Amino acid sequence: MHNFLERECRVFTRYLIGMEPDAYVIGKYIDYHRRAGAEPIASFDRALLNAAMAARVLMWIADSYTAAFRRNAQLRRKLVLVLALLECRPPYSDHLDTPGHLSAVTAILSLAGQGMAFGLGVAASLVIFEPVRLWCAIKAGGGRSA
Amino acid sequence: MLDVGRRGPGPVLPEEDFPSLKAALDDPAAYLLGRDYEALILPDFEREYYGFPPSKSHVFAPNPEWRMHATGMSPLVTFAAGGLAEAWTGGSYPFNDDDLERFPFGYDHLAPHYETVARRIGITGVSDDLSRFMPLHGGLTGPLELDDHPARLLHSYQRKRQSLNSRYGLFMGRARSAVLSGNLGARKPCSKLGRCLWGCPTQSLYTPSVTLGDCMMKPNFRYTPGHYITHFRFDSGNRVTGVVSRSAADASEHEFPVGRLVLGGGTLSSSAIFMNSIHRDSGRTITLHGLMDNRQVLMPFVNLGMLGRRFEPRGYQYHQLAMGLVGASPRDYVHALITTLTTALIHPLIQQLPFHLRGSAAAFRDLHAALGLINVNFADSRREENQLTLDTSTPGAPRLLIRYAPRTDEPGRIAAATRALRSALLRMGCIAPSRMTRLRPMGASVHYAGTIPMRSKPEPLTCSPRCRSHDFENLYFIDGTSLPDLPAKNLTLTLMANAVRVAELEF
Repeated sequence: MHNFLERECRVFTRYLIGMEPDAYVIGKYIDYHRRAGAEPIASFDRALLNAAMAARVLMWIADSYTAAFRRNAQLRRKLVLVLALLECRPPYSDHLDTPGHLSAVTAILSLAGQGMAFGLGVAASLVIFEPVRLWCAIKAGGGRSA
Repeated sequence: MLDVGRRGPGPVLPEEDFPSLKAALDDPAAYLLGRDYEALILPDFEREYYGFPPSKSHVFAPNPEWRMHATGMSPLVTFAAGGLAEAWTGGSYPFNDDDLERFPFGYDHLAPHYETVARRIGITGVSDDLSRFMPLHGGLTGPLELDDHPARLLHSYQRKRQSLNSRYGLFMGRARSAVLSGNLGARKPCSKLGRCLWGCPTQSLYTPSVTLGDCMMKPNFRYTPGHYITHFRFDSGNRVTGVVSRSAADASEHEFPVGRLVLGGGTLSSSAIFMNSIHRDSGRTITLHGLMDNRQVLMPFVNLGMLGRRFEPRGYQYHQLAMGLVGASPRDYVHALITTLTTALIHPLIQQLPFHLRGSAAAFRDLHAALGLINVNFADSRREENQLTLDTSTPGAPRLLIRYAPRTDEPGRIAAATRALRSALLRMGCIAPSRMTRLRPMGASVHYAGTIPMRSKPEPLTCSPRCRSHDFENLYFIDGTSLPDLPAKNLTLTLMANAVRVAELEF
């Protein structure tokens, strides 16, 4: 279980900020899950999580999907947890607060770029994950919780 | 002084500023997020912009003796030494004559007491455009040097001042804050550690525990913590004879004889003690009407001129600027406080940006220095339907029942004010996305008041202009209980000044 959580923490940290988490961040990630206990997870949420762990491009698409349509998904909760841990710990906290661009114009262009990336991710997610969601819903008896 | 008197942890590494604190702590996540991750804001709670700091969790820690059920609001109560202002943001705004219209006295009566408080605790303030709403009382000290973002915002305002004043009724100036810009006794001026939200480690930001500490040095002051006051006893002449408490240590009951009793437990606690005392004596259940609270709206904005600039975490974290928005009448004045989101936790903000989380984290790096948050406060007034009473139907101590409904014209007032603020911000080069504006739940401002209001003419369930009960001749209220009205401005300074006024007039 710890190995699995450690792998999640590494994958999520690399995806979010392009850095490797240190032992402290991994330890806190595992500690959080130990304290929170095993939460029941809907089959579609499980599918999103598995897809995100399988490939970086699927992580981006699943992240976009949960941001647009399923904000309380397990994947998004775990990503927010990693963000929260990273902001507590240098050098990750410094990275999260250092501007990537040096002028308002380049910052605006970067924001526009993030908007486009998000839009593309959402479009791709509709093609990939909506059928999965429908299949999970049918399998679960039509419940929206799938 | 009898008090439950919960205390929090002492200051941690008081010399470190916020960034170096993260590096110096062995377990920074335990300090910032809590040992049980109680300050972690997961998507379920993403309507919140701030996680409450674990270092102040004692302020709102529940007390098993306190039982309450509320409809229409989510009230907070405290059992902390120093009270709710242990977690305040230092806003210290005097009421003017318009605000005091329904009080039995005007600004002239309060002005010397505002000055006394300012000299004791240290309040910054200058003459500027906000002085038309907030009299410039004595005892104020010079303000802190503005950080980059508020300085630019104020500059933008000054350039567009005429049109902002005339077209939107908007005025901007320096916040009045209970923070030191110079030495005051043993307290040192703000050294901009950026740790205000987490509890100022140098006591530059005033909290009431500073005064409590001063009082405890006086030979004629006795502080007795660990006592939860349940009620007072009174004789057939309605004279309070004793106050009854339950020990926090062993739940044993204690009675303390009193000559005069001053209740300052906060409006909800003081009202509960008052009602419980009457109920225990006669079995009568009374209802107190007129509960008030300020509605608050949070309005985040982006200052386009600050995009891509480097974020500076070493600064005063709370409000450096404030705004006043005039309404149709002086009673419709809207009070707004601006903070520039320096060292609050950022994960609650990142997850609310309109991108995927990776994109939001990347965008936030460019946005952080440009972000601001306006806390918009609306006035309230006493209305019969907002009331407190006791539920005595269940075994054990009576339960406080609270019922509150906002004014029927509230949606219109909020829409008009937020529209004007959004337009005015746009003229100052700031964008405030409407979808990110949040209506805070009623009770979140913790400005409760008005259940036993001051009245010049003696009436049951009211108190005199000197805050002496009209029902019990030796009982006083020196918290929000006695306020007959609630303007939009933060009430804490007025509560302090009024307490000083009562002390000087009656004791």
